[in-house]
Amino acid sequence: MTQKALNFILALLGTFTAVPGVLEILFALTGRTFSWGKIGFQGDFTLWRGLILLASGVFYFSAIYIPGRTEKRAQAVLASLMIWIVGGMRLLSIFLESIPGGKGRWLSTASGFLDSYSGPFIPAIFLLPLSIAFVVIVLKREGKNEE
Amino acid sequence: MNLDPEERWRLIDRVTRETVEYGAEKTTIKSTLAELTVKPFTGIPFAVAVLYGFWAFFNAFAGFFTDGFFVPLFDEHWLPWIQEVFPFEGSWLYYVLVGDPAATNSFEAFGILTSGLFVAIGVVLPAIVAFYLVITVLEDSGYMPRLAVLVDTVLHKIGLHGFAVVPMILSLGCNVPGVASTRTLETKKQRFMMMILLSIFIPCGAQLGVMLSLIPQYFGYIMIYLLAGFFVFGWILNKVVPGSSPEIMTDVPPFRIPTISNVSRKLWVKVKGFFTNAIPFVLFGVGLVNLLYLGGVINWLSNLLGPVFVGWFGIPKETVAPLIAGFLRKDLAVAQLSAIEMSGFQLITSVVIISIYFPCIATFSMIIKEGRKSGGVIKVLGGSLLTLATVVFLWGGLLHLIGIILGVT
Repeated sequence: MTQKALNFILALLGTFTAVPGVLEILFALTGRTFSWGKIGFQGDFTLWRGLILLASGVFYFSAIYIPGRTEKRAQAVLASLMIWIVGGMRLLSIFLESIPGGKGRWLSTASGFLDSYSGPFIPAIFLLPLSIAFVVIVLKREGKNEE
Repeated sequence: MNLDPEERWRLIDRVTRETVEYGAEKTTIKSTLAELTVKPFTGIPFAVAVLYGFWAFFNAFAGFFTDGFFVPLFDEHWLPWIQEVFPFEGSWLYYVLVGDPAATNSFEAFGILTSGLFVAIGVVLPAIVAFYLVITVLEDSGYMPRLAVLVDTVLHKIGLHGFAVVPMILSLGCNVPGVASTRTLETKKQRFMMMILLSIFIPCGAQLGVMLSLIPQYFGYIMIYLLAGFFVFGWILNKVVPGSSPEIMTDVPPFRIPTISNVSRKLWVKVKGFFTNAIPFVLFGVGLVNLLYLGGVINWLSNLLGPVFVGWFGIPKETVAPLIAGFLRKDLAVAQLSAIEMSGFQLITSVVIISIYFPCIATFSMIIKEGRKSGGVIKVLGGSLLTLATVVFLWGGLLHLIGIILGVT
């Protein structure tokens, strides 16, 4: 993959991370919730999630300018790790919430279990595939450079 | 040879210059990542993400076991069964062991075998496992020393060092392991300060959860006021408490992937310690509070403290009962407060007072236990009670004063 293509991915990730981050902060500060399709700006700790996404976006953008430097690439990997923490923990939470059955029964029914995965989901979950792909590319490039 | 710290560092620099040779170092993404986590610009946002992850995992894991399985187990099966089969209903023994015969949930029953077991096994145990699991993973991955380095400068202002962040984080889940983990601090002064500060100013996970669900609009104000108190009284205690606060040198190891065998072994040791040390204290505490209720001591305290609460703290007299219940469970006390009619500012003040007026029984028991290793029980308990009384009156009274100045009481 060329440096130009990598920069494009960084810009894409930066935008898709920073913009939802700013929106989450705004919704948290105004005390409002909003959902658009399967994306939802709601739930506990929205402000913190927004701050983490915004910081990740800034890290991605700052990695564009000097892409050859290891520190900048590592900064972008760090941003991806932050997204994985936020998105991964939300996925774990959805999974664990889908198992118990509530009053009168120990385990959830099949339909109750599946309903838990109907969304809306926080923006970080949608950023997981792209951020994982980015880290794989960066680590492969580093592997090639070492050879 | 007696050297002061400055001279010692100069000597270390000289020995290093003369003996160490530096080769060419290859910078990799992994090694750079390790550096980025201790630099403030990148390290602080990453620390926020890690703490968020910590919290999210705690809520998901503890919620899964407590709300998903232990609440139905205790409320729908254990409580009705023991209320039915336990003999001597109406006797003092029934009241102490089973509690209120009309209670429909284990929170309200207040007996050793009902609320005591539920709190210890159903609420605190999942929280303890979740917290120890994350702490162990953070320790074994090499992140914990990095977090300690990152917050070291701030905590030095109050006579503590970076590793004091471990009890602070643990206390956000449950003050009991937080107090237990103060034994990792170097001096008796630091251990005493940390025990007091976190048992007063760091609300536990259960209390935070109740605050977030019942009064989310005031959560931020309450946390800011408590955190400010942590640093203000930390600074004062650092000046007043005799003893030293030494610098520490810590090795910052490279990042590693924790192994399942190491994590599970450490987790087992810590959870086993909780079973043998903390659970008997919690059960004893519940029994003690019940005996105080039976003896009329708690009613007497309610009548005695009523005027102080109204006059000095500006909160309704009715808040005395939840405050006394808060000795057993602070989350329960916050839940009871939300049912009392009062202004928003009075509610903020009441919740702050609940947090700072006294640690819960489990934490208090742990302070007594740890006090034996940190300067003696009498000394630690005496110092704790003196600090608690000062903090409650000054910090609680100050909040009332702020309300009067702002015209919002």
